[in-house]
Parts: sequence; structure tokens; C-alpha cells
Amino acid sequence: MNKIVLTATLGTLALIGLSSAQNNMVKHDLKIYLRMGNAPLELGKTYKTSGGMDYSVDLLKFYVSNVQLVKADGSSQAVPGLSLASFGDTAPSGGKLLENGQVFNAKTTQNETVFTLSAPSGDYKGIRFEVGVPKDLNHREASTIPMPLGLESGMYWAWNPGYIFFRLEGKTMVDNKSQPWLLHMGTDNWRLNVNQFDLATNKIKISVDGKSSTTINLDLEKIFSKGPNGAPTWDLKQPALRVMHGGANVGQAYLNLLGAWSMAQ
Amino acid sequence: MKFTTAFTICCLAGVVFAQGFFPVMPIPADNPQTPEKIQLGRKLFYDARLSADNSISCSSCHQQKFAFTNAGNAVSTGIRGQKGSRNAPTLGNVGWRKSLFWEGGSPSLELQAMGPITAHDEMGIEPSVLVARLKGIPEYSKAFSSVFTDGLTMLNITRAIASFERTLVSNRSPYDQYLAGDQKAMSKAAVRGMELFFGENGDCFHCHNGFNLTTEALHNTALQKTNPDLGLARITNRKSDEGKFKTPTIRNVALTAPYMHDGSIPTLEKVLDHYNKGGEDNPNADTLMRPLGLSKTEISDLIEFLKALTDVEFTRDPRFAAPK
Repeated sequence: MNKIVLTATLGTLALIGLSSAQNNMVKHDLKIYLRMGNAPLELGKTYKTSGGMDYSVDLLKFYVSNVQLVKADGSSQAVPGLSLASFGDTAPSGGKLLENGQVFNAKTTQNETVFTLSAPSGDYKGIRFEVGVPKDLNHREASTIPMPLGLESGMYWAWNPGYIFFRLEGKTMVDNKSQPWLLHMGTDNWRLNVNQFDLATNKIKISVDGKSSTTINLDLEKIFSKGPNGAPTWDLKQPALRVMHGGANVGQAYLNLLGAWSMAQ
Repeated sequence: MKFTTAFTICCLAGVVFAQGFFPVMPIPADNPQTPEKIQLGRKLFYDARLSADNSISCSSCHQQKFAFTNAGNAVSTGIRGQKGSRNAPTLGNVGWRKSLFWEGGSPSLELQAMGPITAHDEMGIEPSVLVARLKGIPEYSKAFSSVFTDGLTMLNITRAIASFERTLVSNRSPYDQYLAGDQKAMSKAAVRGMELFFGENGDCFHCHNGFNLTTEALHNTALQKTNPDLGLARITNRKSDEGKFKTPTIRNVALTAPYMHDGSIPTLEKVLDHYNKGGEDNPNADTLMRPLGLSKTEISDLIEFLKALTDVEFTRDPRFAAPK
């Protein structure tokens, strides 16, 4: 009899605990500042590579997935979801969505939400996420899967079943003629890991309280911080460095991009 | 006339008619063939409004006169004069292809269509922009509502185009007539060429076999000493896959110059010279690549056979032409 009472009591407490934890789940926006060095990025504005070549950024789209909040003990609070963020383009957002799917069409390049997470309230020591589509979703039948994946996402790669993870496009001048340049980074090998956490110096604090948000800088100037094969600059006159769908040059852009993320002050 | 009737009946039944030794074409269960959908796809195929600047359509690079290839161009020219890097393949019998694109990365005609429509150096249009644009054209809006229960969507655009492409059947060449029993359909030189083609001396048949004269496999045919286009390795990231491309059908090959994935060989004679010498010294060269030692007469006979694969009716069939 006592056992039954004890079991029932523990069960009730567990349910209360569960309910309490669920009640403490709050929304929190991950936002992005798009930058060009120290200045806010302006879509369509002409910038210069370190080699002196003119270029603009007209469009940026990328997926965010595998978001994790970092706890004080270094462990992770996983957050489900896959989002597609678009700057300079409008992806369909009103229809059916994938479970935990999100679509964001930014109006500016500053302080725009790219992922809304739902997590237990509290203070965290940082955040990590991937720019890309999880392997499990990347190769599913594209013709029927809803947004943010599928044919209408603007990210489906027809030649390679899967999605462009990070799509950056603009224009450059070659022999006084405007030419498009683009970086389409995808395939399971090029999922980008963004890590912004600090357990040692206490400089990063993320308060998930239902009121605040977390903002991260993405400095697109870093894309051209180092050229492929040890070259100091990125020569956009070369077609293979102007149009990148894969291969060694995307590998260098990937490495450059790893250093392009930082916590906004 | 009989063909047309049979074709229509089979379309309604969800299959595509094929004669002779052609198998029944596989049709996706979620995209059955209907005459209305085929006509909608045909209209889309020939409509330049599917490109960002309204300058090119699917038919710009896949012209019926050239067995739905690109009129002698090594690579295609997309919007704003941009050049691609690969040769536009024939669409003849494309409904039987097991995978699409030169490295075979696309599993269906529906999904393949997304490539040229969205590629920046081809038609270069965003799916959302295309859907909105076509919704603004009453005849398309009406046609899609009639053909598809969910109306005009990106997927349904690709479904309609794929349905039209599945009708592009080419099986009326002299070779087909010869196989059907007409011994006079091919010249004596072409028959000699056919025997070489399917024999170990010519050694073509290891890759070009079956009703569509392709095994669908991928090979590195030692086109160059290096592999500037990664081919299959673009998908697999494997060194051993660099320079591997799908074996194309060689039906109508006399109409589809220039040749190879990059359109780098201008004539059939030069293609056969390439294979006769065993290709270039490429580190990934297929094991089948070896000097063949064919004489000039034998090469001439092989070319006669290749010319006998030309289906003239296919290039004139009004059902495949631009709608009026």
C-alpha cells in the first residue's frame, strides 16, 4: 500500500516537474547583423576586395540548424528546428512548414531574426549552430517536402540532390563589364559550424527570458580574406573564383567564413 | 496516324507508347501523363518567360531540329550572354534515363528541370518569382487550375515540363527499321559498322548498349590529361570519380555535334579518332579505354552506322514543335 502511495506521489511530482519545465520554455530570437568590416552591409553597394576589385553583395540566403545553447558546465541544450533566412530575396513563408521549420525574409541587413528558438529560461554561456541542412533532411524527396526546404525555397540544387546551405551572390566588374559572382556552398561536407561560447572569461552571457534576444555579426568582408591555394587575394577576374559551386575554391571560402562570425556587443 | 492514336491512348493510360524493343516508359505515380498536361508542358518548354529576363526558354538550348540539342554550340548561352560549361544533351528518349545531368545527380525529370530554370547562367529565375509571374498570365493560371488540383506551383511547373519531355520518343531511325526486319533500311557500310560497334574490335557496346544505346553508367573517357570538370566527384568528393560522366545515348548522334560533356570534339570523325587512340593519359581513365587499332575503312563504316541512328521524323514531328 505504501509503495502505491509513494509511486503515485513520485509520479505526481514528476508530472508537476515536467509541467513546470514546459512552462519555463520561452522563445528567444537569434538575430544577425550583416557587416562589411566595421560597417553595416548595404546590399547593392560597391565594395573592394583586398586586391582592389569592385564587388557588391545583392543576395544572401542560408539555413540555420542544430542550434544549441551552451550551459555553464559546458553541456548543451539542444534546440530543434531548421530555418531559412533570406536577405535580398523573398522566400514563400505563408504556406505549410516542415515540423519546427522557420522562414525569415529580412527587410534590412541589421538585427534581423534568422532563427527563433524555444528553450528553458535561464542564463547560458553561449550558442552554437550550423549553417546548413541536417544530413537526414538534405536528401529527402524534394518535390513534396514543405518549406523551408523544397523546390520553392530557392535553395534546391538540382544537379546534386540536396540544398545550397549558404548562397551569396553579387556583381563584380571584369574588363569594365558587370558580371555576376556567386558562392553556392552545400553538400554534406560543407556544413558550417558556428561556435560562440565562452566558459572561461564570462564575456558571453545569453539570457533566455522571453524578452531579450541574441545578436551575432556576420562579416561578409571575411569571405575574401584569403585566396585559394595560399593566394593573398581573391581574383574575381578568374571565372572559377567568380562562380563557385563546389571544389577547392569553396573550401577556401568555407575556411574564411568560419572566422566571419562574432557576438555583437 | 496509327501511332498518334496509340500514343494518345497510352498517354491516357499513364504510360508512353514505345515500339519495337523499347520497354514501357516508367511514369511517376504522382505525375501521370495526360494530354492536357503534356500540352501545358510543351507551352512552358517553348516559353522564354520562364527565364529571368524573358530571353531564353528550354527550347533555346534543346532545339528539335538538332534532336533537342544546341545547334552546334559546345556550351549553352544563358541570360545576359553568360556561357555555361557543359554541352546540352539530347532530350530524345529522356523519359527512360535513370538519372539526369552529366554526373547523374538528379533522380527525375521533374527535379532536373529546377536546374536550368534556376541556374544563374541559364534561365536564372527564382522559383518564387517564376510562380508569381506565371500566375499573372491568365492562360497559365487557367491551364494550371485545370490540370492540377493545387494549381500553379513550382512543382507543377516542373511536372508539366517533365510530362512533355516524356513524349520525346525517338525510335524511327533506319537502325530501328533494320531491327524490325527491313534488311534494306541500312547501307552495307552501316551494317558493317554495326557489327564493329557491337563487337570487341569496335568495343563501343560496353557503354552504348540496350534500346537507347547507353548503359547509363558513368565513365572517365580520358578526354584530357587532367579533369578540369570534376564530373561525378562534384557529388561524391572522391578523387577516383573525377572526370566521370554519364554515358549519353547516341541515338541521333549525327545531329548532336559537338560531342562529349564539354562539347570539345567537333565531329564524329574526331570522336572516333579519340577512342581509336585510347584517349589521353588521364589518371582516372576507364579500364575500357585502350587503343583500338581501327582502320580508316572501319572508322568510316562505324560513322555510317552512327548516321543510321538518325530519326528524321523525330526532328520534324509537329507534336514536339513549338505550339502555334
